[in-house]
Amino acid sequence: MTNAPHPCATPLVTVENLAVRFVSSDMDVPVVNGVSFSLRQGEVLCLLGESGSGKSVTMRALMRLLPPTARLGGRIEVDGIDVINLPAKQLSRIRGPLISMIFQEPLTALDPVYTIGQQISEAVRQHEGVGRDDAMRRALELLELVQVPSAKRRLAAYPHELSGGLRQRAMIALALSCRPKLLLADEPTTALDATVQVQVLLLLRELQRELGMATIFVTHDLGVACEVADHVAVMYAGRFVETGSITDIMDAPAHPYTQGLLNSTVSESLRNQDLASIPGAPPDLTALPPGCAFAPRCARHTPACDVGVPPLRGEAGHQSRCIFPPDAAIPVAEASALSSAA
Amino acid sequence: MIYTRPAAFTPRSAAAPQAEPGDFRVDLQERDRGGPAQPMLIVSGLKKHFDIGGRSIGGQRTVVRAVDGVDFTVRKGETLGIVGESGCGKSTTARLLMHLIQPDAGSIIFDGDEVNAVRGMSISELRRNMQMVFQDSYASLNPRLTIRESVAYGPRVTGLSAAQARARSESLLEMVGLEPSNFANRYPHELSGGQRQRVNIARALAMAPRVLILDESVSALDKSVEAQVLNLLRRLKAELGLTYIFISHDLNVVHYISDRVLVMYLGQVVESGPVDAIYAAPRHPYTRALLSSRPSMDPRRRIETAPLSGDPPNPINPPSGCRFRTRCPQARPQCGQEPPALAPAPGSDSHVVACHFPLSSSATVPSPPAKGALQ
Repeated sequence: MTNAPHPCATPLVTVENLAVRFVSSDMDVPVVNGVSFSLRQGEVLCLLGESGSGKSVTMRALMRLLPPTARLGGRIEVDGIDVINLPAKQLSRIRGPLISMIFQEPLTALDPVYTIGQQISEAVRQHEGVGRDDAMRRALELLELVQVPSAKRRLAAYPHELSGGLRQRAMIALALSCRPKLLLADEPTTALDATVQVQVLLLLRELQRELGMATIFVTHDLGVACEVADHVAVMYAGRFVETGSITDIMDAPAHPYTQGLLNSTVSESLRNQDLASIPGAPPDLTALPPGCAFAPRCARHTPACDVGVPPLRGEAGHQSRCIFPPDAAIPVAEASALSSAA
Repeated sequence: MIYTRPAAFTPRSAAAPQAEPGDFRVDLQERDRGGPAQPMLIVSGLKKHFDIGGRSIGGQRTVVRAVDGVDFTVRKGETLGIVGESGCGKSTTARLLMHLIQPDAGSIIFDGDEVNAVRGMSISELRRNMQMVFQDSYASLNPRLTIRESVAYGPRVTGLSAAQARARSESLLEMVGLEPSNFANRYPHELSGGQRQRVNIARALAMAPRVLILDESVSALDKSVEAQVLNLLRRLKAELGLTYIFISHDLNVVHYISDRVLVMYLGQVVESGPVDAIYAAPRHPYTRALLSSRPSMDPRRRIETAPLSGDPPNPINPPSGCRFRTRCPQARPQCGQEPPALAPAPGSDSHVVACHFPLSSSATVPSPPAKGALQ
């Protein structure tokens, strides 16, 4: 039923009310608290948030790459497959050919004792059942696809022999080796230098466009989101607090947290002036406030904020989890910038 | 001589609080030796080659030229930003300044006194005047000491009584925004990253230094917390009259906080000058590429072509002549023959550049980041 005649009309990924808790004998930490979204073929969604906001856990849940202490709730459907209830033995059906992932640290994600060629061709042979030589040929094609210079020589290189940028390209080649429909990228450029970061971002953007994959990008960097994203979901304490297109979020951020993030981003206009930082620190996930999780740090906090978690509201394309209408929020953000500068 | 009490802890002015036993505020006038015109630091010919064991074909030892002849000065009260990609030697430079590693060559003159020289300043004296805050806030604190003990440790071993050191520790914690009654007895693992970095700043200030080296000190923090710590650093600098050396790979943060900038590439300085001059009109092709690699912050004006291809070359065998020539879009034969010296950029004396063919001052960076979306 998911093989509808118009693949663009039906979403490739549907996530409904995803909840992830990490449970051990002495702890029960809710990390993701009801995340819902859908993503169509060829779209790029950026999960934006600070450490501990649940963005990486959300993404790993899509591939069931979480430790055994994780308890998943809700529904994840990727290309018609119910990921949460998939038996463990069948996970290899989705990992690789359907969904694959690029990690932040290529040196720890790649196996140090096999060459790049061996690692890529192994994945190809496992999933596509081709012979050794064909797989190696495909690995070479992939390295050329990700624009590795003198690709033939690099096939025989071990990960430690490559520079950071080349290693990340090799990992992208590995992730693309089984032609995934959904590519997950977990801070893929955070560990790279500025001049290399922009090269890898451009490469990912180009590949995504060429291969028409759906992509979910996790980042904490607004600048990176601006370069790659179609849609953005801002996460805070395990929930989406604002969703919208990247232009909506940059032009008219609706949630006070998003506004705070934009204001605290250093830019030249703020020289010799205090930055409008968000006071306080992210909440303890084991003791979330009963209402809006951002309320304790929010300049416009009222008692009404503490009554129940506010729903996402706004038009379908641009929603925010705040009880105040977005237009009223902007003057207050400026006021808070002024008061902290004083 | 090593464990003498640090010089003069008296209040700076009448407006400052009364001198308590644990007061860490310093009379800067009294400790200023060379006068306002004397630079705080003059570094010349600083060099460090790390021997990595192997030998090349000619029988020469294989060395990493981490810092290869670096010259710069830091004026009193300014913030010098040092930028560059990983492996360019910015952190090694910081460690050499502190003498955490011994330089192979070069001299460091701190406020007129040469460091580690006959009749100069001893290393322990230098470290009392210059302190460092590292990137990893957790690894740089002793996990078995409470934060009060961590901050009090330096003052205690340099001559204060236990009670005085404790009092100073508490007033410092208060100064960096950590309420002592709530925080002083906590251990590092009980604090968030931003709070731990505040403790590290307090600990660095405990020796009443005049210079603070901040080596990627805000890089590991979340954006909202980074802004808090940057505000704190600016406030402390104004209150205590500090001089900062601010090392970061984040070009926007360096732009925000620095007065002057030093751009490094493969162990050498390629350009330095006032922050506005460098960001508005970089003269070195590398600086220009680095600045245009910043994400645009505007989804409508995305970067279309990468300003540079490839990664920085290996510092074991840097290219001959100009080290940037292998990635430089305008390299010419002369660039491979002789290394360019740092020279004043045409039309400006405070702005120096090491390039045979510097860019003209009208060549601007194509897309400076847009101002915050709400401005």
